[in-house]
Amino acid sequence: MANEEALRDVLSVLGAYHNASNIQRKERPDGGTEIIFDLKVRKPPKGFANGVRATETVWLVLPPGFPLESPFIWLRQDFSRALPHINPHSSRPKPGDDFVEPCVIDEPLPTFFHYNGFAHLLHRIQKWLDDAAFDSLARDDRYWEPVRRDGLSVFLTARRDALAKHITEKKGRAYLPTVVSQGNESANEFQFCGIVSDYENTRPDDLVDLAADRISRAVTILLWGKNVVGKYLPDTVKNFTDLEKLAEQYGCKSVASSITPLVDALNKSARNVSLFVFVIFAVKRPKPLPGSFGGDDKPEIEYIPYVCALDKREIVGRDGSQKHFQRPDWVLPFGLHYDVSPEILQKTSGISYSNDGKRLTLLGCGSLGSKVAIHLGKSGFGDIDLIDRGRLSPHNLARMGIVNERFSSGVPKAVAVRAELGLLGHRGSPTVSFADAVEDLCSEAGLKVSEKSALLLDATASINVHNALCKGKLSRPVRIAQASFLASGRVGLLIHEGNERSPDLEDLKTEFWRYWAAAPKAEHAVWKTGMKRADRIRVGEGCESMSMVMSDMAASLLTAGISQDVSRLMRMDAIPNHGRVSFGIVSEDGRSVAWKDSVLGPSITLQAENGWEVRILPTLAWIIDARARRAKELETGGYLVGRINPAIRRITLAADVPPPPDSIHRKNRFILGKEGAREALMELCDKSRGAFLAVGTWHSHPMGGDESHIDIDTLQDIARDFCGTPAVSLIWRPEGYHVVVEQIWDEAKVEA
Amino acid sequence: MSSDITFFPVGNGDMTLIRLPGPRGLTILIDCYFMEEVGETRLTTIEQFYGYLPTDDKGRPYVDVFVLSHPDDDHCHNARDVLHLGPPDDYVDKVPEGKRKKIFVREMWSAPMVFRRKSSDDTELVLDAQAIKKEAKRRVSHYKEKKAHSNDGIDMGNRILILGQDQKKDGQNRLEGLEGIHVDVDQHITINDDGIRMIAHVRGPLPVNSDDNEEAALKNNRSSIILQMEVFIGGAATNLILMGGDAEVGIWQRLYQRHKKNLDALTYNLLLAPHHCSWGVLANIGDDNVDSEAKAALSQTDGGFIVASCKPIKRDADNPPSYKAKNQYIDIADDESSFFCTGEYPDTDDPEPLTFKFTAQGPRPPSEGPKSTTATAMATGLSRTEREHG
Repeated sequence: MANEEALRDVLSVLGAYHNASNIQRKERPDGGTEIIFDLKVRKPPKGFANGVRATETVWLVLPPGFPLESPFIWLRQDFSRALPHINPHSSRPKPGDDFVEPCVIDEPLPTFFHYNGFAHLLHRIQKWLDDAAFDSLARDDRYWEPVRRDGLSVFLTARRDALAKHITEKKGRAYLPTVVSQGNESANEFQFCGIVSDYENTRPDDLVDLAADRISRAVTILLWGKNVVGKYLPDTVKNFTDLEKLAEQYGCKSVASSITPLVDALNKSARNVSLFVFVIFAVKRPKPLPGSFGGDDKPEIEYIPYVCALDKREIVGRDGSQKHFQRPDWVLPFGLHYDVSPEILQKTSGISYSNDGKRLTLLGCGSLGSKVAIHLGKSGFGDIDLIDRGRLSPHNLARMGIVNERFSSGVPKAVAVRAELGLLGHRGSPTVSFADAVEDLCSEAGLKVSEKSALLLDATASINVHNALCKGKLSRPVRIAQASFLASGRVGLLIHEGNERSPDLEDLKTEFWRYWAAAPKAEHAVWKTGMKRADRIRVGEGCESMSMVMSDMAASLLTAGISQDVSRLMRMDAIPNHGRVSFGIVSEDGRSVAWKDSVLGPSITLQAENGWEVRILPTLAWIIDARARRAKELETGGYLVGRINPAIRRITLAADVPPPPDSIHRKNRFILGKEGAREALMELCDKSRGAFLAVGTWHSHPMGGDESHIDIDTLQDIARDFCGTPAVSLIWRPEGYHVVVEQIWDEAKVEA
Repeated sequence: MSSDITFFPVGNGDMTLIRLPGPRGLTILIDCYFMEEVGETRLTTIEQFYGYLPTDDKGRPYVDVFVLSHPDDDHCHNARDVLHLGPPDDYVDKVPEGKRKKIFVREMWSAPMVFRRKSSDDTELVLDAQAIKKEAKRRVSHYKEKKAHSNDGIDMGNRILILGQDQKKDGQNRLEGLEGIHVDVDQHITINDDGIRMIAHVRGPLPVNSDDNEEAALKNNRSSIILQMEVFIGGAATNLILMGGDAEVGIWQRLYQRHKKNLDALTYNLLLAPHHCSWGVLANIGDDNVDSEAKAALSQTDGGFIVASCKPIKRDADNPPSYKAKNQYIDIADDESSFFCTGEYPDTDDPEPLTFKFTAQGPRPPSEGPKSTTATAMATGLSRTEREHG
């Protein structure tokens, strides 16, 4: 029995409401209670529409579990059903047969009731009745409100655009193979759903064969009329006669005549088959439907599905067994759910990609790459060119963005990711390549990049690929980004290059490590697990894999942020000209990520005579410039740290150690002191987690000019100490930088 | 989104927005009272008002039409700061963070006589009214320079319609050459565009009168633009709105005289009670009795609604708003629930914009609800609870 105190709360709200009168209470046989009351409806200036009366009676059915269960609202049996926002197929407790259930809110009634209470529900009932009286139940004048099917637990899944392509100006019909995903032939246990599997109009004979082969055990008959139907028809179909009448009212072909070819085909077939038949009325409305998905060009079509079945009866005659198919009298309304598509995913994600065909080239479909692909795919972006030559091993499922067991072993990773994107409705758009990225980048033709590609994301975390991308060749220019995990999954990094590849990946990586070299020691706690490169994981008998040990949760935490940025880049008209370093640090409890961003302009590029390219990060260039100018006519200088990458023959200068106090600054001479320099250099290199080395020195020539003999002697001294590692002497001059790189080793040891 | 009209609670002031959605849509702002968020104010702020506006393809919030009924501060407050008044090319696209872009006014409807009857000298006008007048003059000059024949040849942001008549200057008709953008009293403006259909009949300002006493009467009765607008829904003009700025009793008497043989010209389903429910609209100064002709002019409705744009109406001698005037309007509407005060909707503690939806059955006011859906919900926060999602 409904809670008496809660029931009195309802009565008190009603009793205090000036528009409510004649409040009665009645117990129900199921233990619930009915509260019946009259509600004064607002009189429209032009008179009541839709047969609404100045006072309407409302039945509130309070179930026995009230107030934990919410009340249900009903109107008189002869209240017009030819209105939007009526639940025509509700199975909720009602006062009696044929009462009409208004759909007073656009969310589940219990949710609304529990959040807002009865007074607000009463307000909604009042508003609904006023709207009915003013004929303004449509939420938005620009759209046609479709018939409500919210109360149904059974639905057919279909793509609007694929259905729409059949609809012509003239009256017509199409037969579409349909899969029953979960079925029970008993009409009383209709707990299954259907999926229109093939949108080609198919001959009834072929449909019967498909059913016999258990490929599709249902048929969808799509029926449409010629004329626009601009009025609501009551959705009260219960049997075949009702369905036929509705077909006529919608101006469609007869349902019976549409089923006859199927019955004939079934009778002709020697095989033992039965069929469920979905009938969808495609009704042309005067306005488009609200929020319709599918990208079809007929948004004004409303699809209204029902289902029935063709039952097989075997009658044994004198001349042997005969099959007869009978059309049962029952018909059930079905909901229509839109099949997954980029449009529905974008709409649900609240993200909108332009339809300009822009593509993402994704290099690497491992833990990070696959998750980025799935995140983007789920947000409605599937125009991805997947490049990965690797194949799946079962342990990959621990972190990759795939769950399908079919992909547990041996399948190329790119294929598995493409298949997952296919399940998200990105059919045909993602492409797959098994190219060896390094090999292709080193080739004459270069790594193939689609003409439409707006961004290449390197998610391989491979130093080989990194280097090949810095120095190798692409089939066409494209903006490049790179993402990776570090610190056993405690740090996620995303960098994207600037315009015309300046800054490039190497510059940006150096900038990332420059942050850490300068960061307070407390921040370095995130690296406390030590410099783990990879762990050896046994993945089979005699088979081991090198991989970072981290959970899917940690990978997802970081990849979500990385994907947000990649998605944002893909939605921009043009990727910003500057380069960007973003990295996320996972909190110690592993639950949150704090992201840091820095923007980087182009580096200064210098070419040394012996083939080394020297780059100065703009942040360092600014410091050197300021120091040199502050010293005015005196020479000054300092020690340099940076990243030496022999594979691309590049030295990237990241930071300096200011001249120690024992340095001597003169007009034509600068002697770099040593006091405390070693400790300062060690600290910078240590904090860069080994990314940086001491790479030489810089000094200024305020009066201009290249290196002096003294400069060369000093550089050679340093180079000898570096034992073959290149040493840099950078000279600041008002007219620009000059650089010399020296490597000294015992050349006699090398055979000619 | 629906076709609707919204009256914003701005105290004793007017700010009304008509929105007719469609492929191109139409937004008409009649008067404005832009208020910055200050302290505990519960009235509509500029920030809230922006939420009602569309944005054009250049990212500018805009109105298709701005009408200033008459140049009083409570009808154009802060217009200089919020409306873009100047050539379209001068529109400032990039504004500092935290600042708003100005509202781009595609077309103005302006009546020179309401400015002339308000003051003979610009300096007597409030600065916002001066700026609007200057902008109207700029648009007229632009029209003349372009030698156009109607607004069709004029860019958005430069368009203007001149409503009503104007005084002659040195015997010369000031409106000569402006025929393509002039709409005289009892003529109408038709908007028929992509499914939107609206007709605005110009009922005032009343024509220039050669009799000095008569002209003085019009001046003393707060001459205003008076519009009777028909909004078509479902093919029929089912929504008639009458708005008359601050026009007072003398104007309504004369309108009654002018149209008494065909009172359709004053018929409405929705009336904005003139001059913030002032007694001076229904009775002559110092007179406790209603002027029957003025009341008759404002009574041409059958089951319509009346809105007073003013602070809460108390049972006292304050004016405006006048409690006596409110009772007269309730008498006209024939139902207390058909009279609305912007300062009291949904309650005096927390007034909200009052929106009437245009329907085939006439303007549809917000539905009533139990009192607890406003006051209690505010107190308990029930209706504002954040929803969780799984």
